[in-house]
Parts: sequence; structure tokens; C-alpha cells
Amino acid sequence: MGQERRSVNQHILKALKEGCGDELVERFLRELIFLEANNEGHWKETYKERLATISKNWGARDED
Amino acid sequence: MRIEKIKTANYRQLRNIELSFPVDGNDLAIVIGRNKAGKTNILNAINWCLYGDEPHLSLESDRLPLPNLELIQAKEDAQLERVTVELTISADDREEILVQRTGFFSINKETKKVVDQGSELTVTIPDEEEGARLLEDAKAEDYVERLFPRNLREFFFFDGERLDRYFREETPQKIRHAVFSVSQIDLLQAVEQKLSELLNDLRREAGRSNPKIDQIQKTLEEKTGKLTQTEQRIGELSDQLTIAKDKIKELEDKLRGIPDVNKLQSEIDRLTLKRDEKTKLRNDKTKEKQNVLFEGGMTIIVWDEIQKAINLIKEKKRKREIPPTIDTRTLENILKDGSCHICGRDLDKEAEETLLKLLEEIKLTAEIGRALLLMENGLADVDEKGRDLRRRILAITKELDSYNRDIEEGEKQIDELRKRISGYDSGKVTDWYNEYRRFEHARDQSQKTLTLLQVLHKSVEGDIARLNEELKAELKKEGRFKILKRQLEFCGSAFNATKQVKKNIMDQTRQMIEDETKKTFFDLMWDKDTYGNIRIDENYSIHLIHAMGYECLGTTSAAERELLALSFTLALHAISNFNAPIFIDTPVARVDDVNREDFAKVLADLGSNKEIVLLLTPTEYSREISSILDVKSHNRYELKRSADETKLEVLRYA
Repeated sequence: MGQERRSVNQHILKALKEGCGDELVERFLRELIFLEANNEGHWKETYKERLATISKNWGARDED
Repeated sequence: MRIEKIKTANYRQLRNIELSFPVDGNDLAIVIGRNKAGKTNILNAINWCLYGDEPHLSLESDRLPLPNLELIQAKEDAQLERVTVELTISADDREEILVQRTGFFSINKETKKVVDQGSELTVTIPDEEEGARLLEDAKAEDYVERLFPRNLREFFFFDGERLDRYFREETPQKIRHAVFSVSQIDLLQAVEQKLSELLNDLRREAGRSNPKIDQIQKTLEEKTGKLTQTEQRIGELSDQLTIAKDKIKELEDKLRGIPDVNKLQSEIDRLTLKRDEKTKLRNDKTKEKQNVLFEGGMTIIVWDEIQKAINLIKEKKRKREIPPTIDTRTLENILKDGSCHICGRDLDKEAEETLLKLLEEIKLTAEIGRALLLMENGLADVDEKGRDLRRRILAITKELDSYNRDIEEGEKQIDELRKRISGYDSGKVTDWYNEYRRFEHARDQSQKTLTLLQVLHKSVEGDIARLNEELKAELKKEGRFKILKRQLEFCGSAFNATKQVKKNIMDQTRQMIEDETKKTFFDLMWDKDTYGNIRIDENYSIHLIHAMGYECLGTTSAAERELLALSFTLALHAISNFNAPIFIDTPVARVDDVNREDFAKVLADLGSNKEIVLLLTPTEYSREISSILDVKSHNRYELKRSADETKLEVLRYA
């Protein structure tokens, strides 16, 4: 049985695209906003998990 | 999204009704019903179905149980009774969704006492694979929340009264809260807050094995807490400032042309006191004058005669009619010696007699002269006294004149001020002026504190940036924190981006709402030349600007105010993700006759964009109004009691 997902205001998604200045950060925040919109699970574990996954790709550019 | 159908069973006086709103061109439906026919309970039925409560209950209905009264009266067994409200909803490209709430009630067949045994919510969703999916309890509630968020319901289902009082009762804080919910800025706020917490967790983790990092983290946490507190305080103060400014504006509108009765009364009191002081001084002076007149009364009475006498003497002197005073001693010595002291000749008898006669005459003349001289001196004394008296009386009279002039002027001023405040309810006006001064004080205080807090905010932000740099440097030294450092920096970037995006979207949203409100208001406004602009400031305080340039929200007509509130509501709909319907109970009841038709035209036109359902009384649905609405509406119903008053029927309105 599929889960009904609450959609996110297009203005927010557009503002994320325009205002984040980084594709990875935008992707991360987009995921978090959908999480918030749909209030899924225990936030801290989910946030940490998403952070750990997505920040792996962030390392390369910051290993100065 | 549309509400296609409302079906009730045993719900209040809507015992068994069905209202369908099929789309047929313009999406406007009309339900007409007398007062107490159950019109408002249509709004309650929708709310009860979706959220389990009834926010529009009248005092009378609130006292009644939710199940239908006839059902209660007819109850003869011990079984639970069911009350059902069912909404058929079409959302986006889906087929019809069925939302149903069933309430269970035990009814004592003897006492007719009703006990609420709870309710169940179900949502039936068409499903291509399974035919239909049934959601129950929390899942059903969650689904409904996504369709019609509960905290936004007052933008979907409301009464005309709410439109009328919207800008008078809704605080900018509440409006901003609604905007944040509608535009989903609250999602960004939640993400921002959780990322901040996550950042603290990550820093604490790093700090556990490095005391310096631990120290930086603790300071950072403290500073972040301070920053949040400052931001909250700035937010609160901005709201207070907006409220104070709005109140000042509202009171200025109210007090336009009305004198400051309190201030004028104080001025009257001051002038009355001054007048009374002058009156006392005048009375004292009058007494002094009376004393002076009493003491010098005789002098004053004879003064004219004395002056005449003095003048007479002076005249006689001038005419030489008064003999000079002659020294007789020489003549007496000549007589005594018997010879003249001038020529040396001895006196003969004849000379002696002549001398004696001359002496006699001279003596008389000298005595008269002396008497006149004595009299003249006495008269001069009295004259001087009289002159002094006159001078004193003149001085006192001058002072009295001055007091009288002051008193007269004071009376005139008091009269003028009294005239200015007469006809006003001084208690009420005084209260307004007191309130006005209180809000002026609050505005000045808030402004002062706000400026200080903004400086503090900037300084704490600087501290946090510096501490973050220090933390970054420390983490760099620690090779083992490579992953943690990366996560921290990424999380920090995401946190800052959230803040920035939130700020951007808040500005954009406010601008969009302002533009949409303006567009709708000026599109729908019947009198295009009256108003010049609508401005929504950053605290969501709404300003309606007259074509002449002044703010005029406080003095607009009910119809214009309702139009502005409706425009604002539609702007919120436009910026939200919800293409929700609008149900308005008694939409034109508070609109004056002059603007009623114009406002009805506005309502009729709204149906071209979204589902609009108007619940009207027969009085509202007058011939003029019906001729406007009917051409735009194909769904017209009447809620009507049966002839024996036992049943409520829904009739298609012819």
C-alpha cells in the first residue's frame, strides 16, 4: 500500500535552488524538507543518516 | 481540490441531507436558509468530519447534544446511535476521495441524556490496483491534514463576520503565523532548528576527546543560545512595535478631528485656577479701595471746596488783593523814641497821631495776611492729602481694571475650551487619548530596545563566525576527526543555507502576498479611484493607502474591509499549495446596502477560479443579490423545514 506524501510548495523548492549555492546542500535540504512535510520517523536518526551519506561527497572539495 | 458532496446522517438539525456541488461552468454554489435552519451547521458538519470539532457553534447549538434531537426523542432501545458526516472530495487528478466521520453516542431512553462515546475517521481513496484503499485513525487524520491543514481551516471555511473583523482582530503575529503555515516556511524553520541541534551534537562529539574543541563548542552553544534568544526577542519586539504602530494609526483615525479632551480639561482647570487667583486678588484690592475711601472719605468730600478756597487765595494773591505782611516794629520804635529814625525830626502831635492811625491800619492788614497765610498752609496740607488719596485710588483702580481684564479673558478662554469639548463623550475620548499615549510610549520603548538588540545580534553573530573558524582550525589539526569535520562543515553550510533561503522566501512570500492582495483587491474593487495602494510590511501589518496618500484602513466601509480581507485570503490561497474551496457563511450580512451588490458581484466572479459555496439567509439573498449570483451559479439549494416543522429538507432552489 503506497504512502500518501504531502507535496512541498514550489516556491520553497525554487528558493532552495536559487539560494543554496551548492548542489549537494540543496539536495540535502530538499530531502529534509520533504521529511518535515511528511513527518516521517524519528528525525535525529534520519537527519544523521542523511548527513553521513550526503556529506561523503562533500569531502573531496574540502580536503585542503 | 473540491468538495463535491456533503452527506449527513443524524447530525444536529441536518438529520439526513445531501448537498452536491457538481461543476458546471462557474464553480459557485448557493445554499439559502433562514436563521436556525442549519446553514452554519453545514460549516460545523465539515469541520466535525475533518477535525472532530465544531468551531462555528452558536450558543444555543452549543448547549444541545450533537445527535439529532428527533432521534434522541424517538430513542427507545439501549443501542449506541451513530452520527455520520461524509465528504466527497476530488483532489488534483485523483478520483473522488471519501472522508467519513462516524460518532457514537449512548442515549438514555428515559432521561434522554446523551453521552459521547468517541468517533472514528476513515478515508477511502480510489486505487488502480486495489480498487480502493481504506485509511483509518491516525493515517486517516494524517491524510486529512495533508488535504486541509487544520491550522489553515479558517482560510477555507469561515463566516462573513470573520472577514469584517479580520484586520481589527487578527494580530500581525497571527497573520504571519498563517502565512508561514500556508507558504510552508514553517518547514524551513523546523529544518533550521533541527540542523542547529544536530550541529551541537556533532560539536559535542568532537569535544569529548579534545578539551579545546570542547571549550569552543561550549562557548558556541552558549552564543548560539544567546543568538536564538536575541532573535526571538527581536521578533517579539518587532511584533509589539507593529501592534503599537497599528494601534496608534487606528487611534489617530478615531481621534481625527476630536480634541484631546483630557488635555483641554487640564487647560480648563489651569485657567480656572488662575481665574480664581485673580478673582481673589481683585476682591482683596476692592476691599483695600473701600478702606482707603473710608479712611479718606471726609478729605474727598471737602477736597473740591478746599481746592476752590486755595484757588481763591491764589487768585486774590495774584490780584494783590491781600495786603502784604508789614513789619510794624520800626513805626513802634519811632513812636517810642519820639523822633523819626529816617530823617531825625522830632515827632509833633499831628505826626504822632498819623503814625498811631497808620499803625492801627497796618496791624489789621497784617493780622488778615497772617490769618490767610495760616489758612492757606492748612488747606495745602488737606490738598496734599487729597492728592495722595487720589493717587492711591487711581493706582488701585488701575490694578482692579487689570484683574478684571485678566478674569474676563480667562472666562472667555474657558468658555471656548468648554465649547470645544462639549458634545464628546469625555470618558471615552480620554480613554482613547490615554491609550494613544500609552502606545506611543510602547512604540518608543520597543524601538529603543530593538535598536540595542540589533547591535547585540550583530556582535553575537560575529562571535559565532569567529568561534566557527577557531573550531575549523582545531578540527583540522586533529586528523582523526576527518569525517566529523566534514559532516560538521556540511551541516554548518546547510544550516546557513537554510537561514538564507528562509530569509529570501520570507521576503518573496511577503512580496507575493502583497502583489496578489493588491491585484485581487484592485481587480474586484468597484470604486477604482478611491484607493491608491496596499502595502504589507515585513511584520505583516497591512496598510491600505487612499488615493490621496494617507492610510485609511480604519475608516473604510465594511464592504471594502471585507473585500480586502477576502483579497488577502485569496492571496494566501494563491501562494499556498492548496487549491482549496472556500465556504462563506452569511457573506454579505454585514455589508451596507450601498455596496452589497458590488460585493455580491465580487463573490460571483470568484467562482471562475475555485469552488465557492455561499451560505445565505433569505434577507441576504434579496432580489438584487440573487439576480447577480444566479447567473453565475448552477447549484442553488434551499434548506427548508417541512410543513410540520419536523424535518429539514434540501430543495433545489428554483
